Amino acid sequence: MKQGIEKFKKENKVIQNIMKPFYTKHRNEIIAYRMLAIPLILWGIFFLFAFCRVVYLSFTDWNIFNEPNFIGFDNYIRIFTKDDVIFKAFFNTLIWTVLTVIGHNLIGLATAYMITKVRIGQKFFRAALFWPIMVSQVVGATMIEWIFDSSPNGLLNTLIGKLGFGSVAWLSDPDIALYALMVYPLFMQFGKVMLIYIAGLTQIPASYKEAAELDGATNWETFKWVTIPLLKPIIILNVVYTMIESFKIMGPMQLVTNGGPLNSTMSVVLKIYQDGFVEYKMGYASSVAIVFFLIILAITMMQFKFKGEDVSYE
Amino acid sequence: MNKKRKDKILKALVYLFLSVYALFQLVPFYLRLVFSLQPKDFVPVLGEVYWWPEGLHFENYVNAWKMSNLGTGYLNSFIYVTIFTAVSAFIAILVGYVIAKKKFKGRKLIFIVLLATFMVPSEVLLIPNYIIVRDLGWLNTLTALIVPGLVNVVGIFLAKQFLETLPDSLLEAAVIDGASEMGIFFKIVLPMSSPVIATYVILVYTQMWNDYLWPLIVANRQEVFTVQLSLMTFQTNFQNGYDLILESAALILTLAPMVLIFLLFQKKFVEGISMTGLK
Repeated sequence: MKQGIEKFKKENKVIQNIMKPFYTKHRNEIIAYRMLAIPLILWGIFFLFAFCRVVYLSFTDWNIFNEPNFIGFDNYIRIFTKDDVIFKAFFNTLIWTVLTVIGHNLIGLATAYMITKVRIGQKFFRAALFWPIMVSQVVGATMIEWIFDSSPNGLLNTLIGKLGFGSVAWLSDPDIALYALMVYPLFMQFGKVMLIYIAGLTQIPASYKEAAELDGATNWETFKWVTIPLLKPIIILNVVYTMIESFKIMGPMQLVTNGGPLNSTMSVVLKIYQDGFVEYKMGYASSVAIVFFLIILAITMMQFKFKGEDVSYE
Repeated sequence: MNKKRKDKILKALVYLFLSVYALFQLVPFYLRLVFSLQPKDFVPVLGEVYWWPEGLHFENYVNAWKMSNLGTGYLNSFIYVTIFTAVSAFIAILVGYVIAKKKFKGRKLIFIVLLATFMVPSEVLLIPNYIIVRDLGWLNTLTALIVPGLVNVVGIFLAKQFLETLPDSLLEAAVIDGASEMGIFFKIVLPMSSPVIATYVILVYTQMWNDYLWPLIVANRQEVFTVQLSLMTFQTNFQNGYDLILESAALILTLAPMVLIFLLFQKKFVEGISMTGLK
C-alpha cells in the first residue's frame, strides 16, 4: 500500500516534469481557457448543441411522446407541398415585413430628420417619440385589443362613431385583421430605427449641407442630393435590421388574435410555436424553424454584400 | 428675405408635426390611465371618450395588484431579471476582456464562432432549449428563465470593443505588482468597465422585463409567473366594466417601471442603441 503511494508520487512527479514545458509554453492558453470555460460550456449547451439538435429533429417525426424516427426530408416536403397554413403564415409574414420595413424607415427617417433640424427641444422630442419602444409586447397587445375592439366600446369604433360611421369588426374580419394588428406597432415602435437615423444624420458634417445651400439648393434638394447619398450605409443597415425584426413577428398575432380568424393572422414564428408547443409536433416545428432560419440567414448575408460599398465622409 | 420667412414657417410646421405625433402616441395610454382611476361602479356611456376620471380611485391599483397575481409576477421578474442581468454582464465583461486583451491560440476562432450566434434568431432554438431545460428538470423554476441566455453575444461584443481601448500599461503594472489573473480582472478590468456595464445593464434589464415568450414556454405555474405572464392571464377574465378599469391599472403597473427607468437613464439608452445599432 505504502509502496503503491510512493510509486504513484514518483510517477506523478515524472509526469509533472514532462508536462512542465507544456505548462510554460502554453501558459497563455491555459489562463485564457480557464477563464472562458464556464461561458463556453453554457454557450456549447444552449447554442451549439441546441442548434445541432433542432437540425436533427427537423428530419424526424418526433411528437414528444414517441421515440424520434428518422424520416428524411418528409417534413420539408410537407412544408412546401401539403401545408396550406404554412403558406398563409409565410404570406402574412411577408406582407407584414414589407409594410413594416417601408413604414418604419419612412417614419423613422422623417422624424429623425425633423428632430435634427429643431434647435430647441431636440432631446425632448427624441424622448417623446422614442418611449413607446419601452412598451412590452403584452402591454402592446392589451392596447391593440382595446383600440381595435370589434364592439362599439373599442377606442377606434368610438372615434369613428363620433364621425357618424358604424362599428367595424377590426379583429374578427379575416380580410382586415392582419392590418388592424399592424397599425399599432407600425406607428408606435419605430424608435430604434429613428435613433439610428439621428446618429447617422448628426455624423454628416455640416459643411456639406452649407456648401449645397451656398449653391442655392432648397431644403428638399439638399436632403435628396446630399443627405440621402451620405446616409446610404445607415439606410441599408436600418432596412436589414427592420427586415429581420419584422420577419420574426409573432407577439400581436399570438396575444391578440392567436393566428385567427381563419389563420388570417398566422405568422411563421407563431406557426413554429403552435406546431411545437400546442400540438407537440416537435419534429415538424423544427423543420419550419430551419426554413425560417435559412430565410433570416439570407437577409443577413445580403447585408454583408452591401457592406462592401462604404461611404466616406473624409 | 423671402427664404428666411419660408424657413420660419417650415420650422413651425416641423414643431407642429413632432408635437402632434408625440401626442398621438401618448393619448391611448393616457386614456387607459384615466380608466384606471375611475370609480368601481363606473359605466362608460357608449360613444363617449373620457378625458378626465370621476375622482381619483387609487384603490383600483391595490385591487388589480391582488387580483392579477401581479405581486408574485413583480417579485419573480425582479429576482430573475436582476440575477440574469448581473451574471450575464459579468460573463460578457470576462469573455470580452479575454478576447480583447489575452494573446492565445484560438482567440480569433472563438470570437468568430461567437459572432455566428448573431445569425441564429432565438426563435429557432426555442424547441431544443425547451427540451434541454425539461431534461434538466428545470421547468417551472427561475433557473430555466435565467441560465439559457446567460452568454449574451451583444454584451460580449460591446465589452470587447470597449476593453480594446483599455491601455495595456495598466494591466502590465498590475502584473508587476504581483496581482493574480482574477485579481487583475476584479480590481482593474471590472471597475474600468463601469460605463459599458451601465449601458448593458439598462438595455438588458428592460429587454428581459418585457420578454414574454421564453417565460410562457418554461413557466406554467403561477408561482413562477413573470410580470408579463401575470398581465397576460389578466386578459382572460374580461366580464364587466370594472374589469376594464382593473386591467388598465394592471397595464399601468406593468409599464410604469420601464417608463421610469427610461426617463431616468435616457442618455444611456440612446448611447446603447446607437452603439449596438451602428456596429
